Amino acid sequence: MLRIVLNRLALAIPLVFIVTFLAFWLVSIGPTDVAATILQGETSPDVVEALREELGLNQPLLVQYGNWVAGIFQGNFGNSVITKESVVELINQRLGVTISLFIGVLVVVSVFGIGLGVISAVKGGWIGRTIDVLSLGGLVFPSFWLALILIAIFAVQLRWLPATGFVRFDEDPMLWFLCIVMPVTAASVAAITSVAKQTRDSMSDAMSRDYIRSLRASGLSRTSIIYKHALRNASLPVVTVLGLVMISAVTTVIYVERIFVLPGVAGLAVDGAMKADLPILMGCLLVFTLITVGISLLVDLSYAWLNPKVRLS
Amino acid sequence: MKTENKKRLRVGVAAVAVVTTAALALSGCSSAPAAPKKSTETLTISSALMPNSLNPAISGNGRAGVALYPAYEPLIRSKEDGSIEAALATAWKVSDDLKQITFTLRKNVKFSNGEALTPDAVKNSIMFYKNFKGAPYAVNLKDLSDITTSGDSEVTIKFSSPQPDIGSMFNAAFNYGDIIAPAGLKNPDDLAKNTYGAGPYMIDASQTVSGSKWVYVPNPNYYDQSKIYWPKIEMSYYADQNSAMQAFKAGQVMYMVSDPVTANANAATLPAGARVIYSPAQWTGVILSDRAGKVTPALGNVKVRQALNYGTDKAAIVKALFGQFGAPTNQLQVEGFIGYDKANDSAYPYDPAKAKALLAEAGFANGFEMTLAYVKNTLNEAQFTAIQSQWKELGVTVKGYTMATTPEIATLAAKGTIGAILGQSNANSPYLAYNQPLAANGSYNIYNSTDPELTKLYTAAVNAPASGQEAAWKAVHKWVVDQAWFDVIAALPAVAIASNKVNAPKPGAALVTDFVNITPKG
Repeated sequence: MLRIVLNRLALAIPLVFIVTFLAFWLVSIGPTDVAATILQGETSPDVVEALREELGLNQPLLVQYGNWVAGIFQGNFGNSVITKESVVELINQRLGVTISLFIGVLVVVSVFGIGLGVISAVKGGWIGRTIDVLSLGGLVFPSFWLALILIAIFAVQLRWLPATGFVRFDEDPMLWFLCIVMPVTAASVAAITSVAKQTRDSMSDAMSRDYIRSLRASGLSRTSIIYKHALRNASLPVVTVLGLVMISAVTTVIYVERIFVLPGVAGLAVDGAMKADLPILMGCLLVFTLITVGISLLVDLSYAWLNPKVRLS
Repeated sequence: MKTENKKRLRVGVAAVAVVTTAALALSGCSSAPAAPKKSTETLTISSALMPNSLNPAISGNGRAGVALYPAYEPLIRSKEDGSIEAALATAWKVSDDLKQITFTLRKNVKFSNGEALTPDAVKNSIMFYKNFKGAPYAVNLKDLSDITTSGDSEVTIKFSSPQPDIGSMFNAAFNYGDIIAPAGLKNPDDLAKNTYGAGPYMIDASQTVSGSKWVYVPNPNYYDQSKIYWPKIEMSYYADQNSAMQAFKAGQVMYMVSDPVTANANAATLPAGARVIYSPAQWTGVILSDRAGKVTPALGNVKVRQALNYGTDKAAIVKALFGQFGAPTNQLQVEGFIGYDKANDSAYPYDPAKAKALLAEAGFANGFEMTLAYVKNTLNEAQFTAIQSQWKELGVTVKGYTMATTPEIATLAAKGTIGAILGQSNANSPYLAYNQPLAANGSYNIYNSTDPELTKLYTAAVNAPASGQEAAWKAVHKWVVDQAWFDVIAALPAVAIASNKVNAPKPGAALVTDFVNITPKG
């Protein structure tokens, strides 16, 4: 198991470099000039140019990237070129929000996606078809639209939940929960659909296998057959899909944070990109790359746990 | 007469060479209404623009600078009607030549960190704004030549050239009126995280999330504790105005710093007791930048620029996008501000036939192609679509070039493909309103257009005595309208939406309500 972890981490290192360099390059060819952003267009081109020079923006791209990487290896993510605030501090302020969202989405998608998929496969009939329709509905509604509808109903009309904002768990656990109910729901619905569909197909396939018939004949309880044997055997493709939807949740989180005004890392990344504030953008990107690598690693470890052949190979 | 008086007050030079005292403001008027009660609720505010930083030197101003309002006290404060009232300064005197202003400071004032307000603190704070690298409004202080102090309460600020706005420029509008405590000046990096002002509140860094939410608690050192109405102020940045409106309707936001399009779309469905409050503020429209015709030869011809003005149905655009929160116009000054001339608003009535005739006279009967740059947002996208469609009727093909942020305008000249820009500008004083769109190095004047006649008119306006300011600035704006350097579409107000829980004056010339003036209702 340790070898798997080390292998995957070794593969992740070049990925981190590729992603971060691509981001560096994209920002450098983008139209936004951070010097102009700082000066807010209120001064002459000479002054803008002087500030660019001072910020080191006229250095070759590889030199700028090399400086950034050297800083990372020293644990220095740098400071915002605009506000001079520490990038680590800025990310720390917001990481709790983003982690809350990711964990919330992972729990909700796992429980509802797998649960609905299993029920649909096992029950079949009208219950199965109803679940199919409901889960397919998730594909129809984009998360940003669903977010606005949820706010209109549960915040504006019923006033059960806060429309926007976030409260830290350590400040008020109940309010923290209420604050993330709608964002997690909006970010999860499409993912639930994908996981439920995959679970149903895999479970249907597993339930039709000969060994299930043998287990039934040997007198095992239905619950045991479904959850201990069929689900475990059906779970490899489900875990794959779960990993993929969690990685794609990174982009969903950007919309969700914006609509629900959650002070998370995605919003910080968007602001950094808009202002071409490279240290902020790169810091956020590193966080998201590590989250993606972490999810991939978890998926791989799940494979190994669920399927001994993977461990042997 | 009343309008004339307001204009004088707005430009801030009415009291030239006269000692202006704020006796009423200081002592309170016997017939003044009862002071608002203190609230036990948190004042919640939504902001549509994010400040660059909490550091006042680089935070931005107007709607982008609202995060400073609770914590930094300016030397003087601009009121809703444009008049000036005492703040850290209790009296001020402007020299005849508009080159010098002397402030008398309020006694026994302390900053939120406990340091005392002294003339030296004021001097060092203003010099900090002038010298801070990257400070966008330092350009307004470029002619500041000296600051001298006298005794324990006098500060004299001297300029090398006349400053038509000298009587009002040290308010909060461009931040440099906001005085920073010495400790903050010694440690500028900390200004991004903590506030060092003498305002009624101070930032609570532990609850604040930079770039997203700013939380303020009362400043125990504020000189007038009776004006601290709220136990806490929470201001959040809403990138999406739909979300802000939903939060407002859900009762989470008490005061929205908003915009005309959002107000127009939601005015009819606001909760009971809520209202839109607005006051004239800025223009929106097309800056026909390539007046020399280098990139788009047609724009070098005044008849073509006039044709585009005649071919824009401004009334229709205003009706569709802004409703009651906008008015069609052709000029860079809005009603109520010095330099505005009602006659200019009828200079280019919508007349497509005349527009086509002018294009034909200029040799462009078959139209031409041009690129129009704009920052991608709701306001600009809607206007761009309308303009593109209306000018197509004239045979003019408009290609869009979108930008993510306004500062990208600074890089447009280098692109060498942009004929015009769709934008907005603040017009709260004739002098500063001139700088951005008309000055040779103004940020909206990307090809550095100049004209001897315009320079002559501008010089005359800047040096005009108070009694001649109105006529002089009108002459500047008439020339600009006649030459059609712009196709201004509408005069827009500064807009806020207030819930039934707060009293708030109109945003006024500063574009946003000074949060100090938002009081609990009832």
